[in-house]
Amino acid sequence: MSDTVAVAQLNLGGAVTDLFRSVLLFLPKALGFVVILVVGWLVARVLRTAVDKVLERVGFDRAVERGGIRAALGRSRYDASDLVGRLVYYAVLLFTLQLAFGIWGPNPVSDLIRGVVAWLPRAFVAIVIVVVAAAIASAVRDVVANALGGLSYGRVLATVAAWFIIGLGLIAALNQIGVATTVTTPILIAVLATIAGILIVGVGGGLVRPMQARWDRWLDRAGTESQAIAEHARAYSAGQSDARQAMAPEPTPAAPDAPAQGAPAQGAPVPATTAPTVGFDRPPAGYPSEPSAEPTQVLPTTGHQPPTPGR
Amino acid sequence: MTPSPAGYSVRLAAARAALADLADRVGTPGLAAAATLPGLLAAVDQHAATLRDLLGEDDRGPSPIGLAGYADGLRDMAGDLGWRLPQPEQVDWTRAPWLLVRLVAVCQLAATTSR
Repeated sequence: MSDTVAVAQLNLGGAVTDLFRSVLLFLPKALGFVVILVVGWLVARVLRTAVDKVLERVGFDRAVERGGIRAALGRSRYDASDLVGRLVYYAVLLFTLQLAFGIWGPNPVSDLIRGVVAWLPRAFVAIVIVVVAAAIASAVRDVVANALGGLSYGRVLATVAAWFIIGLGLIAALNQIGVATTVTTPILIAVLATIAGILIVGVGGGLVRPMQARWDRWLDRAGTESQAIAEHARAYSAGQSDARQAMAPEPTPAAPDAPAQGAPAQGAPVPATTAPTVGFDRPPAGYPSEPSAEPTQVLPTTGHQPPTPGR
Repeated sequence: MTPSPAGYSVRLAAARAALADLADRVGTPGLAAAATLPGLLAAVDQHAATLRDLLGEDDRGPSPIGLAGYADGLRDMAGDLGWRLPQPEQVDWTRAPWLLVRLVAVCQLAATTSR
């Protein structure tokens, strides 16, 4: 009986020893954890205050307010140096937490904090994108509104342009931080495709008729020019034919009253060997045919048949 | 829409220049002589009527392009056959050769057509 009591006592003692050991093993870690947290928190607060003071001393607020940030911060409780100090504070706090939880070895909280820390630069870039986009948008709105101030739709146009730029910036920022990429990208593409379609139909549709008129002019021009070329060629060959007839060495007295053979071939080039087309037989080699010194005499017109009437 | 195609207007200008040149060499002295020589004037008129029928279209007279082309063809072929355009002051207009009267008629048509 006493044996069993002794054994039980021994077991109890071992358990208590285990308990103490694990507590003693745990205590330094917990102490270190708390110390790190406290020190980090203190450092963070000191840094926040220091950054705030230094920035205010340097004149950061005034420099920032000269930009467009003042309007953005107008409704918040902080001024710019406050904001920067607070950012520093939370950053230091985050690193402190990471360090403190690192004591416990791999654990889910550390993973979470690491993920947040890794994500922070992208969030920063996204914020910068939004701020820059807002600044550009306000500048564009100012420029457009001033340039088109005389137009009734100038203000509307300026607002539309500004919101378009802000929308682009927002979508870019959301893409940057990886939020709703599957939603924003199709929306962006749809909006851009809509604008492109409006441009194509509106601008391109307006260009259909001028282009048509231009084509008409070109074809008309080509037609007129080819007509002129054909006319010139026809007249040229007619002239050649007449000259050949006139220069023929021996003017055989062709029947002067012979009518023209057929209708005058207007469209076809005159063959070289036929007589001039319109009722005009071989001309004499000279004019007038018999020498006559009398200037007022009615010169004979042999060889000149009267022109065919009724053309 | 009245087209003013560049190529066509260039051709038209070239034809007008050629006709003006021909008028200087032949047309002006020839028509001046015809003013005093009724026979020559009648012959020129007959030549002109023939040319109007030959070169003109149905409703209009011959165009400067057609007239210039005809004069070119006439002079080129005659030149190939050995005929040269005489100097205006050397021409005996009472005995003007057929080709010369023809060219005077071309100039008369060119002066009278409105196209």
